[in-house]
Amino acid sequence: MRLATRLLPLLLLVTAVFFIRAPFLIKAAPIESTMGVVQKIFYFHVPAAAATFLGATVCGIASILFLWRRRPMADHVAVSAAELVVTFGVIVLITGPLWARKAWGIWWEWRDVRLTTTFVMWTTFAAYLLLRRFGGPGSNIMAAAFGLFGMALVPIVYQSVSYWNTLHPKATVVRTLPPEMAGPLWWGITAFVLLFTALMIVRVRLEAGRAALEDAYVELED
Amino acid sequence: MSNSKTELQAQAQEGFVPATSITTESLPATPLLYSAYGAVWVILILYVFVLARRLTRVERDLRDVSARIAKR
Amino acid sequence: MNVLRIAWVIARKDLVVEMRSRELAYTTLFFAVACVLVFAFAFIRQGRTPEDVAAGILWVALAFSGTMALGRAFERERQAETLRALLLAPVERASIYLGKLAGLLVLMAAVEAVVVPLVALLFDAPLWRAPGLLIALLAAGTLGFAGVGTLFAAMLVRAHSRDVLLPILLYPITVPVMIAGVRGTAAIFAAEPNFDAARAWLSMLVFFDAIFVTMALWVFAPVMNE
Repeated sequence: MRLATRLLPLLLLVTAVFFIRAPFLIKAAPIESTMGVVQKIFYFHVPAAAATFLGATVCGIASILFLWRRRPMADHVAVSAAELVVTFGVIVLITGPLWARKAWGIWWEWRDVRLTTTFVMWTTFAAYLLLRRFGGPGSNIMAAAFGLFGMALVPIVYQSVSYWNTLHPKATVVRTLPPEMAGPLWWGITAFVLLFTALMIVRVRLEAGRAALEDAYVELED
Repeated sequence: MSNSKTELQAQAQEGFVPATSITTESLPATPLLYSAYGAVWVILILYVFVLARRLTRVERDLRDVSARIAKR
Repeated sequence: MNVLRIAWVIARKDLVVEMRSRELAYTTLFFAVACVLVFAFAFIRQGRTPEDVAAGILWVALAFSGTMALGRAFERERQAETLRALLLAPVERASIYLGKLAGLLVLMAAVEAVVVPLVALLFDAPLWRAPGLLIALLAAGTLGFAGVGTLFAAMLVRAHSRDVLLPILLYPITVPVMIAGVRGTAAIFAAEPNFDAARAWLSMLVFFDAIFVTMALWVFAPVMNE
């Protein structure tokens, strides 16, 4: 944790560089032939989605660690990751429909795998945060159990929705991207992953501080 | 080199295709793109702002309580 | 196996208690019927409900009444402090989970035995088209729902706001079960039934059940140990 806090300013600097250069790369990228310029939302919609799924995985793993080892740091990481899932999830769920409106003519499509999975995930991790806030004592352990299910849910929902027809560009899009488009995309993904890491460090520090504060209050009572 | 729109659309399901010529669309795309971009920034900045505020408050409280403990 | 034997003891205790008052059975059943009624009126168009809506109404009614039954079943334990007694007893945690789950499944089976024919009657759904497949879908779906629900209801027993937290936690996680259950049932009830699709949804349900129940068994002990 000490090391992470020391690396933070450098990390923030690198992240800032990535985010500042990003719009230039996006502007320079070729315009997609059928969807037009609105397809460029892709360059930050997909990276935000990447951060969301990353957060869900981190929360799930931290939950497992907390449930079995009861290490406080694992708990701090879990709740921080869940909060980031909800935050980045909002970005995905706003930018997605804005893109969809132009590209497909509708704001939402339930049978689209990624939209529905993200929505379910967002709801799940929002529920996680509600549990932690209103569950009372012991809610960190209950939340850990729930977080594990939340992480496992991602591939399961994906599976079930993908049995339906889908309008969303298939996963092969990323692999078959021409290099002029792949460049900005991976730049964007890197930017968001860096941001995710930086935010995690800050958020975990906040959580550790809160725990220390509670312990200090208890000690004050004695 | 000029594919029909439907062929291109089918192709776009499989992979994005860079345009060779731009045709004008019915719904203005640029406002959507810029609002999406703006939304990203607004949300991120809001979150960072709230996070920073919570952090300074907790660290201040921690300093206060530690001082009170030391004074006893 | 000892675990199964104790699970059976726990389940039998629940069933005996229930048989005496039948409180859970009657209230859950009536609640499910009330749900069906509300949804029916929500979707009426020109005096009839659209065809494909029966499957959705059925599963939503089961989800709502199932959640209520879960809450009530564990509320009973909480009031009599029997859950703590069970946890203190030298039994495998897994047997507590399995026992409570079994009791709940029996209750839901009884409720479904009434609600499913009722829905078929009210919405003109072809109940007898593929009874085996339909029963399998219902069984698998109920198992998935109750499997996760038993874990969450048990862990929430001592939490604040537990009545509202149970649905908040349960509904997102059981979304895939609902999707598969509704789509599978709809495939059977449709004007042109697609039994292959229904079977595919069924196998997906069984797969989800295996994952959820395994995870719940795994997690039950650590989460119940305060």
